[in-house]
Amino acid sequence: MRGWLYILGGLLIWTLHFLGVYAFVSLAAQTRAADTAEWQAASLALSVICGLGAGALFLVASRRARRTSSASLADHVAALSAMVGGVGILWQAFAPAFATG
Amino acid sequence: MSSETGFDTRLYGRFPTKGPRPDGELEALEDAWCGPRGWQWITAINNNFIGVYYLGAALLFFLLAGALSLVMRAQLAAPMSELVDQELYNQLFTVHGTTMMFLFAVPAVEALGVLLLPQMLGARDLPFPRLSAFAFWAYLIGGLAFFGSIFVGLAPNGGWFMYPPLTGMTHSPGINADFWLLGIGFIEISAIAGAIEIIVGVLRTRAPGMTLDRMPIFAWAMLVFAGMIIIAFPSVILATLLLELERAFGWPFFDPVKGGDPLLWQHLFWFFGHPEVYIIFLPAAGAMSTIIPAVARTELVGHRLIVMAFLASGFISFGVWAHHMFTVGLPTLSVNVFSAASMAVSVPAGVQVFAWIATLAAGKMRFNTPGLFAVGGLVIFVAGGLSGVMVAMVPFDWQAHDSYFIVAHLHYVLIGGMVFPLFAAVYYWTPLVSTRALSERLGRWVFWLMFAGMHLTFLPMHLTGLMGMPRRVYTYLPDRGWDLPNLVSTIGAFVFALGALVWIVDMVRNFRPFGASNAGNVYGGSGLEWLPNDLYSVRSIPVVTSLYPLWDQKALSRDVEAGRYFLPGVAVGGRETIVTSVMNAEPQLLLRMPKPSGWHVWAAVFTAAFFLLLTVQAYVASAIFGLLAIYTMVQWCWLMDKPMDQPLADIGAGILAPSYAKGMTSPGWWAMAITLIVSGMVVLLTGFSYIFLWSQRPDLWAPPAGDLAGILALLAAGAGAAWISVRALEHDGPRSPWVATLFMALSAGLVTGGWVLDATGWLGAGLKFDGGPQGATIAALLSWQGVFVATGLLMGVYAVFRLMFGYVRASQPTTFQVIGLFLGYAAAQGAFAAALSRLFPGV
Amino acid sequence: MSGLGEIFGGWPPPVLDPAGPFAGPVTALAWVLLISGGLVLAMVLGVTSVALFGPRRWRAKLGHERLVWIGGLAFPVVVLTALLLHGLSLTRDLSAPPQPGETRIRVTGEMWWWRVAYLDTAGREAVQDANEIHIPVGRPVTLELEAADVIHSLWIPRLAGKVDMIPGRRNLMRINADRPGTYAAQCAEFCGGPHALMGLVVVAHAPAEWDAWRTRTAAPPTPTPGRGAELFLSAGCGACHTVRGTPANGLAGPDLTHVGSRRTLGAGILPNHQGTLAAWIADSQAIKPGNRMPAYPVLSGPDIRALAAWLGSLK
Repeated sequence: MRGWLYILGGLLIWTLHFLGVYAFVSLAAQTRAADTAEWQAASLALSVICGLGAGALFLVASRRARRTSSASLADHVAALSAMVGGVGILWQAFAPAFATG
Repeated sequence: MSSETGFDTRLYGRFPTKGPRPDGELEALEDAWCGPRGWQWITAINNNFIGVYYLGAALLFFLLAGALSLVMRAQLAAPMSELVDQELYNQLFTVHGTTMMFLFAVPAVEALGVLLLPQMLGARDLPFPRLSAFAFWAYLIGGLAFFGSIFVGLAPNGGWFMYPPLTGMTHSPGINADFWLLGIGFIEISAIAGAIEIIVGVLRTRAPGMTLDRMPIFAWAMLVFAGMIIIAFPSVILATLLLELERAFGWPFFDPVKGGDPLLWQHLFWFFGHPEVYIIFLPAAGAMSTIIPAVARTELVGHRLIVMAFLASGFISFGVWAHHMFTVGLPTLSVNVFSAASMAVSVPAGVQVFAWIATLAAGKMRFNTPGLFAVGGLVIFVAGGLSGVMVAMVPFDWQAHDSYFIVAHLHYVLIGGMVFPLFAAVYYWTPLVSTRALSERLGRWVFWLMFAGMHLTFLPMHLTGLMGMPRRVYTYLPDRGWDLPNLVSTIGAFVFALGALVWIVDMVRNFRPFGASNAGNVYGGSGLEWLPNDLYSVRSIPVVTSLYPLWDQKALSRDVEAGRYFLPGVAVGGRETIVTSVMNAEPQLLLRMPKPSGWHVWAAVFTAAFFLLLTVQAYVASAIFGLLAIYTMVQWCWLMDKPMDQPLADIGAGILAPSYAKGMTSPGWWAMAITLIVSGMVVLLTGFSYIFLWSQRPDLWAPPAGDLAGILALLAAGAGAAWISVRALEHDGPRSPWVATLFMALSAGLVTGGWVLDATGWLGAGLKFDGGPQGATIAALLSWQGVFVATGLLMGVYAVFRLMFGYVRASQPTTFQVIGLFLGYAAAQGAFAAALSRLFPGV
Repeated sequence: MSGLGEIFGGWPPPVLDPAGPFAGPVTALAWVLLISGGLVLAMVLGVTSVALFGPRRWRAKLGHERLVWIGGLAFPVVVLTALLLHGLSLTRDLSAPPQPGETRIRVTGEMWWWRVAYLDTAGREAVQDANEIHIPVGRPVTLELEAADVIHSLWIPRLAGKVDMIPGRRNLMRINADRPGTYAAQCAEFCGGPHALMGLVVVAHAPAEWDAWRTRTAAPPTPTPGRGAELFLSAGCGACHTVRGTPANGLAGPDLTHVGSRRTLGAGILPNHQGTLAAWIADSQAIKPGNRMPAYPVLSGPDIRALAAWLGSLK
């Protein structure tokens, strides 16, 4: 189980981030009030936290992938998926910034 | 390397064993795995048979749905053509789309997995052979019934996406729409059954030594594919159930007149529907990643990048469903989130494409038929991917959406991403299952006709779309300037069909399955499937030390064939394979597998009869067949978990492994856990539906009713009783069987009690299930839990029967462990539903 | 079947031939995407050709994980980031909410035609019409999109992207035509039966002309009494259709008060003249199978011609 959490870590963080951002933008649409800015801020904060998480995982995994003499597939895949997850988080972090009016 | 299970990996050093094999070993193996004779082909369960049936049926549906598209293209060749009428055309495109997506694409790739995975992983068969046979028969019968509806004019006509309210009772009063729901119901069942099979197969039946690092890329693709089915299909299961419930009982989920919301359907459908594209694409990409290295005679460049790409596609594709909904008026913020995810999902696709190109460059491509289809598919897929990036741009999608531009885009993606790789796979792996390879000469014709026909058909459609032609139109006016591009598309479709025809000729002339031997490793692949094999798969199960075993372990074929590895014969009797650990594939268990029997076939037939009769509203007959289906399934279960006299078995070279699996080592426990994840997704998505409908019409919500504390107390007691039952049996005292059975029956009763209290709480307060979205969603939650309660009660009775037959023993706890898991989950599920509907939106 | 080519012609492709500020930027984006997509495709084909046929030295350079990192990761991430930012800002600009005082027109999708209502400043439906939308040139107009039965989608490719009409919801779509003219539109979401034959015409007038058009349309016509008028009432047409100024006040079908002045019949599928009017009345099912108007075999030829003549006079 821990092995899979490590391999999938970056993508799990991406999932968490996606669900959070989706919840925040839905709430922003629901309240229809002037508090859109607050939801945007909450969403941005989540993005920063998740982005840092993915970044940290990438650093750890890529170091392990490089260090061990026979680095396993798990280390490589963990590093790569943390990287792709991080890119996904970055792109979705842009989204709330482009709200209308 | 540290051990995962306590298995001493130095024991691998005993292989290959020396010396001659004992007499009669091979004969025992052949006897256990003997093929069907005469009518027995119906009851066959070996993947060598079921895989071929399955893939054959899927390809049959491909040809049938393709034939429908030729009729449609003929109709659209000229404006205001009267070749087919409006109603028939609407049925044609609905059945074409539905058949291609549900009856061809998903089953075809699933069949490829069923057919190839055991051989690739060095297993004798998949872990639940009867389950995949059941899945196949349910799919074949349901699929033919669905497809047959077009010949009697009863086919659904609301599009493969079936948007309500058009498909609701008001606008589609006939049973056409029910046929769609029926056909899809079968595919849901068979897809999930297949997915369970594949997940457990890939994780637990790999050859010893085949660690994740050495797992073939195709197995990675199939693993992600199956995982995605487990997460995505619950959404379409829920959507189809809700639509059928609305149609049958008037519970308003989608009907805006009574407070439902048509957009709920779109959310649920596309939460399934977009991942569906990747569900289809990933196994095909796995096949590409296997075939390209073989035809280029080199290792796959960027193997780890591709594994990451599969996993990333598997996750990110769940975050893009709303890009089918950019025009429905979602808030800009939501649209932006989904646009960003749509961009992100194209990154893994790019990684795969460039890895394939790099592999081609690293090796030296041989232009045989599988190679041509692989490279052709790659080119088509890239073009489709680029138009995909275009429509991920929201403002452009506003123009392109629902126009022929999308028709072009999706066919480029699916034909390049799935059909061409599948044909590459058919040519590449036919020598494995047939005594003759397919013809290289005809294969070239097939490829070039299909490749040219494909572009001729779909390239002009980009333009037709920009010229303003919407999708799903049965005709068009002559003044619109669409005549020429449409004519070209029609010609292209027939060119493509000619390619398919040549392929049929090739198949008829050369495809000879189920023979004594096969045509062999014609294309020089590196995987275990090319070891010498027979109906029992390999003679002995090898120790794998490389990602490309046949290229790197030179003596492997000879030693495997000589029986010098694991399980060279029959260890304790009957069909068997080795279960290994998830990460490092260390041998854990000798898994005894079932022999062919008719129960699963009858179960499929009766299940099909139940649904079919329900669709044509013959309720009594339907109920009878429903009971028969349950009876056959119970009989089928009864054959499992039989007593085992010999607790340890020699699985080769004196290595001993248990021959009975308990708890989490048991594949059956895994299958139940995965099934429960499916149900958990259904309930979570019902919760989403509840909140979604509330957010649209909070004014229609009545205050909560019923005794939540009482419900939760009963359910907690039910879960506790199940736990006590399992522990009591493990305790192995003289009264253990009695105590365990008593507590298991008690648990079923308590879970039922919680459900009754939940339902009566609402009914007592006068909640109308057809009155509004609150009643409807609560009714849906109660109905789903009701199925679990009924199953739980059935299991309780089953437990009592096993006690009477003396099958409840501490040495044989799996049945109770599985039932206990089920009841514990049912209690949690009931608690979730009861609490959500009472605590949200608050008192 | 002719005479509609001027409105409905497909060349130049309407998506690439914008006529207003809500379509123009999308066309520009479309060109950017088409050209850059073409370049990327050419590049991939080039690299693939080298990988397949190139000299050994070139292939050795490509046949390495480096190619995946550059072509499959770095390049797409950079390009897609730029595209995404552009797309997001364009989406924001095009989704700006309506300005106060903007002309509002309610368009309701029906099976298989369009109900059109011009709203007054208080938001009430002031003027009823069908299957044609008249707008002033150079001023943004807000369309309130609703659906009466199933989901429809309004697509006016030269003026804006499409927006769905969903029962129980109201979506907004803004359009603005640069120059006077007629613009083709149609239903883009499959809505059953004759969905293929559900068109609409948008007519953009110079502002002064548009004001005049509105005044003229708001007033009921002065129907010439006569055999056609009598037949219209006696045959029961008024059960479904309204002609203001007469007892015909049905609401199920299109408002026919000014049907004579429309450019098309049958929701954008026939040019409007006496012959087509007569054909439509006699057997609309032969022209647009499945539509909700029954055929009228009871009416004689002369009756139908009289009816058509009278309807044609409703300008």
